[in-house]
Amino acid sequence: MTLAPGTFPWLVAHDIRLSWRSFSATLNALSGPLPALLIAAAVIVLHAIAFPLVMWLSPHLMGPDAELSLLATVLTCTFTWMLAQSLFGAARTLYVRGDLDLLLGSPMPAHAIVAAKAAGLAANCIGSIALLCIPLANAGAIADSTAWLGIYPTLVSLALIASALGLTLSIVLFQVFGPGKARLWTQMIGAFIAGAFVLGAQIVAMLPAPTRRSISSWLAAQVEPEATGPLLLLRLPMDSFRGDPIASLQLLVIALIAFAAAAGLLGKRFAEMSIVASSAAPAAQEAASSTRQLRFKAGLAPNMRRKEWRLLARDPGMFAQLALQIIYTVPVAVVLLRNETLPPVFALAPTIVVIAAQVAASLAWLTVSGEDAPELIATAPVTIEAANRAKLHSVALPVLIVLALPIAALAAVSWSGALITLLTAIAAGTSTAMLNLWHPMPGNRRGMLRRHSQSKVVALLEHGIALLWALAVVMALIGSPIAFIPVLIVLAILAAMRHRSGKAYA
Amino acid sequence: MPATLAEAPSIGEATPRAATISPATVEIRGVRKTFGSAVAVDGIDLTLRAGELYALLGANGAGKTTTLRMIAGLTKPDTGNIRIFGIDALAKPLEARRVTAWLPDEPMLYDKLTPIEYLEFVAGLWGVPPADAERKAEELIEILELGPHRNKRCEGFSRGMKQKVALAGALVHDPKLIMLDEPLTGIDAAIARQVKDLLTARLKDGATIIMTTHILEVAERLADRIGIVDRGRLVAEGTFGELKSSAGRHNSTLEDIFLTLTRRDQLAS
Repeated sequence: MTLAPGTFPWLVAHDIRLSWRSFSATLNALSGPLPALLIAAAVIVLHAIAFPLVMWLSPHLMGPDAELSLLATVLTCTFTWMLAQSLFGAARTLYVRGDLDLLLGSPMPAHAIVAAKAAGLAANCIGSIALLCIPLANAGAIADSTAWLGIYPTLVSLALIASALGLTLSIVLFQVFGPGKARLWTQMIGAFIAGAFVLGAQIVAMLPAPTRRSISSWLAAQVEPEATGPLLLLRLPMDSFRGDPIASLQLLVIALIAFAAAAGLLGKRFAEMSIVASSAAPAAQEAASSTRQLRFKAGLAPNMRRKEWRLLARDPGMFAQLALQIIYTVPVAVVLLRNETLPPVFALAPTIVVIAAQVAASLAWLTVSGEDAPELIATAPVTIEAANRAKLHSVALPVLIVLALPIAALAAVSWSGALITLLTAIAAGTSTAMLNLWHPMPGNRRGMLRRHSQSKVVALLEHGIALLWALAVVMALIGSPIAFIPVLIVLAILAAMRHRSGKAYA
Repeated sequence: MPATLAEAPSIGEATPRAATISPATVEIRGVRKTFGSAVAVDGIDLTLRAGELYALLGANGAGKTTTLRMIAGLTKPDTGNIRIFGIDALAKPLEARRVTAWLPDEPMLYDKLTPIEYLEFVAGLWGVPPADAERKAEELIEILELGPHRNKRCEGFSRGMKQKVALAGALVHDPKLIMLDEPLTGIDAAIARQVKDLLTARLKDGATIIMTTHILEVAERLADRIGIVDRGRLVAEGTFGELKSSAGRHNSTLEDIFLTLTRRDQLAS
């Protein structure tokens, strides 16, 4: 079937084709049947995990005695996550632009272009959560009840609503903060939305049991069929999620109306904003620190440090992205802290180690792969190794600053625990930083959080190494000699990656 | 084989800055580079003399930027030798880089740094003693009229301003060989004039410059010698006068000569 050129479906198909090529490019370096085998293996593993999870979740989410408050929480979490993704996507569309100039210069109506971009945002929202939800829906339909298939239309509807809302919010933020600062605010608000609900839910979970029970029953009462409060809005997605076809259809219609309204009514405004965003060069800001007379320094390392620290300190958007990484990690600690049988050190230590690994990886990526002037460094009379070493040294201090407060908190509980955690965190940070050094993924600094889309292998190993160090620190705190096992696995991974350094990766 | 000095006698143009007796600063012999099955540079031989400005001309994809990148050490040739001031640039790249500077067509800057901070960083990379670096940086800022912008971040600068900052960075360590890829593309006449004046001053100080350009008028007016590259090969080389002779068109512009030489070569192949 050929779609008529210049129409909305044609443009959506064009965007899908670009996204697919971009995704398949990340697997191109793996030759032969390996990419297909990897995908098949991932699908099988995810479904294998989903089956026991479905059995455990079924009475809480699907049965007649389902915990409505839990279901409402799950859906709200999903929606806020999607909304955050949609906000990030809208900001990217506006500022990174891609083909927007070409499209807006064509005779296609602005609302059709914006609708296609919004459809891309919705697809991205679904994609960001599909790995988790789709295996659950399939496994549930096979092992429990076809009601689990309600997850599919619910996801689509929530994604459409989230993209419509994300588009609207990005326009509001653009109006309020102006083209220069809107991007930063959009990222920060997106990070807040994504993290706030997860953190909030965990904080509620930390409250004493009677308080928790009363909040839960209040929430359940709000979403009962006979309730009339504003939280009744949650009822429709809840019913849709639980496989009610009428609710699914109603929700889908509402989502489509919201989507069409946002694209139709705000499309022109979004297109105008994109023109303003492209032409609004950032004002030439006076750098506060350099109004003083500079004192030039000798040597590669001090100059590299100064450069990297200045670039970091002057980029608040980067802080928002780093904060987002930390926010996403903290709930794990909160869940562990809730376990009254575990001492607090067992909750804090692995979280600190994971944060160290993630932040060090991000900063190492920023300095090595996100280098703005790689040819300047490559033509300087310094070896690439020396330049990269100096860059990694410059990363160490910011990572230690991030860790200082949680390590100090841990030291208040246990000195030895804090020391073990600090050493493991340093090892974890060094490991992921070295991984990024050996397997650079060149990209724009602004895309730090999206760097993993460039190499699935490095992304997987980065997370794996962080988790292995987290496991090692727990074992070390217990005093178990098997703490050496995850350490040895990490060392083996690093040795293999060092060996493969310079070779192509997906 | 290119049309060389020996093949094409001068027809009375002004004497080039670098007389033929000047020592060779860059010698490229039999350099070849392929990307997959595509031949980007096909056995180029080139000699640059101290104090001369050499312009490489060629159509898009002819191989001029690849040639320059190989001299700068950014692309490794498949075969051939490159010597810079007697240093084997392929065997001892760091030694060669100490005396060279590379300015690509897109300025390599850090948006969040100010011009003076950028110069401080570049001087640090080249190991210039701090006092000398500071003096040189101030001098370049003054010459390029960057003073009012010295403490402003580069992110708000126009392309021309960015090009000036990048040029200052390229010159802060007093390179003996300056490689410029399309240095005047996309900048206004006033800034282009400042850049040309600064390059001319560097030539008077004995630096050697090799640049690629699409602006034939720039090559015609500034270059001591011009090399024309077509499909990876140097098809002609010499002063403007020598090229006129070799093309057999004494009343022609460089554009006519360029088109004649590249078309003739295409027909011959």
